[in-house]
Amino acid sequence: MLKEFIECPGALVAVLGGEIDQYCAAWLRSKLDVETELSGEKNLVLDLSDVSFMDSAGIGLIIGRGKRLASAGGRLALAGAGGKLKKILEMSGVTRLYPLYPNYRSAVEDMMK
Amino acid sequence: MSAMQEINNYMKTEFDARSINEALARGVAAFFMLPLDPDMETVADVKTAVSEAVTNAIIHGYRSEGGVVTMELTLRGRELTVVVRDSGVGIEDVAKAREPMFTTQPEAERSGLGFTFMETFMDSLDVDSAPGRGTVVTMKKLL
Ligand SMILES: Nc1ncnc2c1ncn2[C@@H]1O[C@H](COP(=O)(O)OP(=O)(O)OP(=O)(O)O)[C@@H](O)[C@H]1O
Ligand SMILES: [Mg+2]
Repeated sequence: MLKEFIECPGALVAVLGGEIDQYCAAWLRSKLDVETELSGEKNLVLDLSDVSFMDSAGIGLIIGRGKRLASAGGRLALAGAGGKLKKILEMSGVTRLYPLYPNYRSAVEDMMK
Repeated sequence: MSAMQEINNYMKTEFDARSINEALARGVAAFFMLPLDPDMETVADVKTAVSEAVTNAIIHGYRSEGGVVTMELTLRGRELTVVVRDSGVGIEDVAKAREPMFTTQPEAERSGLGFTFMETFMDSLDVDSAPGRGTVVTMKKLL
């Protein structure tokens, strides 16, 4: 599920929520790609603090966005994931590729540097 | 409920091989465990494993063209057994398919982590499959 987009200087923030699985992955992917394009921002922050469930479809979505941004000279960052979700992100190696921040503000701040 | 009382239970559910039913399958498994009052971590582990097995049946087994997925849940004391079954295309090389990061659908942005998650979050994972014969995934976890 997608809650909202927040435009910040230096990065677009997408606030995700609810359950992220195969059912919504393709839809979410195109929403994120279109909005990133429209915003003109190179960097994207995924705020995961309201995500209650994520399986491998979500991991595929994150890695896919990371690759896409990188090919356009941008970066992906993650924010707000805790507990079980953080465990899944670490286990799958995602947090080694894309930094995880406590909240989206600290991610944006870091990206502006 | 008395802690001494053994809970033995069984249920079988069949549903359309559509992605909208992934959440349904996770929810059914979570409710089935409820009488044992498992901790949140355990419930989350089982939900993830169920989601992976059911998603694989839908998108790989039936190639997103539809079919019927069967999920069986069994409780013997504190041991939960989940069996997810499809009559789809089956798996050519199960050992290869179970390797982390292996996927036959990289273009669909799959990470190849489904079996790895099932293995990590459950106590045991057994995959019985052959081309044209469908796939049976059996997972166990002590709650
Ligand atoms: N029920 C099934 N029927 C047929 N093939 C399957 C089935 N389950 C898994 N496979 C095969 O095993 C491979 C690995 O499965 P796994 O769940 O680990 O990764 P994935 O589904 O490709 O990616 P991810 O789960 O990360 O989205 C799949 O790419 C597919 O080829
Ligand atoms: Mg899978």
